[in-house]
Amino acid sequence: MRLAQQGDRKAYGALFHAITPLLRSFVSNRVRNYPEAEDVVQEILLSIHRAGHTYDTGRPFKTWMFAIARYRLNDHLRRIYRNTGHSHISLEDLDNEIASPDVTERRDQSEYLDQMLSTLPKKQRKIVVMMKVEGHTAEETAIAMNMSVSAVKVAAHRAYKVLARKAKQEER
Amino acid sequence: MDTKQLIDQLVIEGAQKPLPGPMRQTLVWLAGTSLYVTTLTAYNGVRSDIADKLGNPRFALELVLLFAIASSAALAAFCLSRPDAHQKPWLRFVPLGFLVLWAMTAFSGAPELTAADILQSLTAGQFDCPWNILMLSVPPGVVMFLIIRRGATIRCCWAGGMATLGATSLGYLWMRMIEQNDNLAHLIVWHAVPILLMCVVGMMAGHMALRWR
Repeated sequence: MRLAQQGDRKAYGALFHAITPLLRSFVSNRVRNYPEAEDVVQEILLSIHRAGHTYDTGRPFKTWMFAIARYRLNDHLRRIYRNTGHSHISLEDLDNEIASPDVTERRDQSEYLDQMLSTLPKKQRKIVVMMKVEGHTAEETAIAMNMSVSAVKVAAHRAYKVLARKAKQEER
Repeated sequence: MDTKQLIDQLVIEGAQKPLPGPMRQTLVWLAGTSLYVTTLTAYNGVRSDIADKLGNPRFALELVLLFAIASSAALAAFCLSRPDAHQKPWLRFVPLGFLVLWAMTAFSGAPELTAADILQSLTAGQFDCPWNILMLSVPPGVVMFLIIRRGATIRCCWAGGMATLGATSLGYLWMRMIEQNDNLAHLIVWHAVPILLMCVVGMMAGHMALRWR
């Protein structure tokens, strides 16, 4: 880091390559989902880059680095817990609704799902398809949709609620 | 974007130049603030009995402890502007130690105060004292907040609280130099309690303004 602060870009790159496995192992202890863990690692690397001017070369680097890593990881976990704090209706629940005998008797699952999704506004439909059908993370969806991560999560949450309500109505 | 691409991008941007150390930041801030306080004191004039008061060891110790609170709080705030608190997390408790010592020195006669004394002081409504402390503390406090914001603060409430304590304790020191009132109830009600309230506000301001995103 000392060399990097003096303008040595090669040393800066070597530093990032050296710390990435450490950060990966640190994050994966708390975040099991690989793409999500990799997102957090990238966030930490970016934070280390942005806070590089606060590092005092006279002090141990790892203590400074892990202080940032812990902060970013906690930030990430706090976001997740905050979102799961709301009543969460997942598409898996919706699948159960679809799988109930009275529904499957009437129509094919995927057709039913398509029909349900078509009732959503275009933006919400795209978010649900990206996150639940194609398996993208909220962050990836946010980038693709040019929205903030929290806006994506809110829109997805609303869409799940609508879908669950409609599924229940159909069941009746 | 995969991690390797991200690293390549960060390398192209290069590392930033390091900030000056917290001790240097503290010295610069203290020098600037002392100049500001001296100018204000020269403009307002000191209390007429200042020579006698400075001969009183308790009063002198009170001023020394106030300066110690201000300088240690400033140092703690600047250390807290680093994500690792400059690897001295204990430093934020030092000003609190000085604060206790100062309270024991300045308010040693407080147990003899009666509720009537406090009530009388309250009804006197001397709002100019906290107002003067606030007015003196705002410019150095704002400067300190701006310097802290250049860092990457993780403990933002602590940093805000320490910055406010540093600035307001100098405001208190200044008031002791210019105001010829040593009434204990007055000092508690119109000087010390407002400073504590200002520190609580400073902590909230720190939470809002200093949070590293």
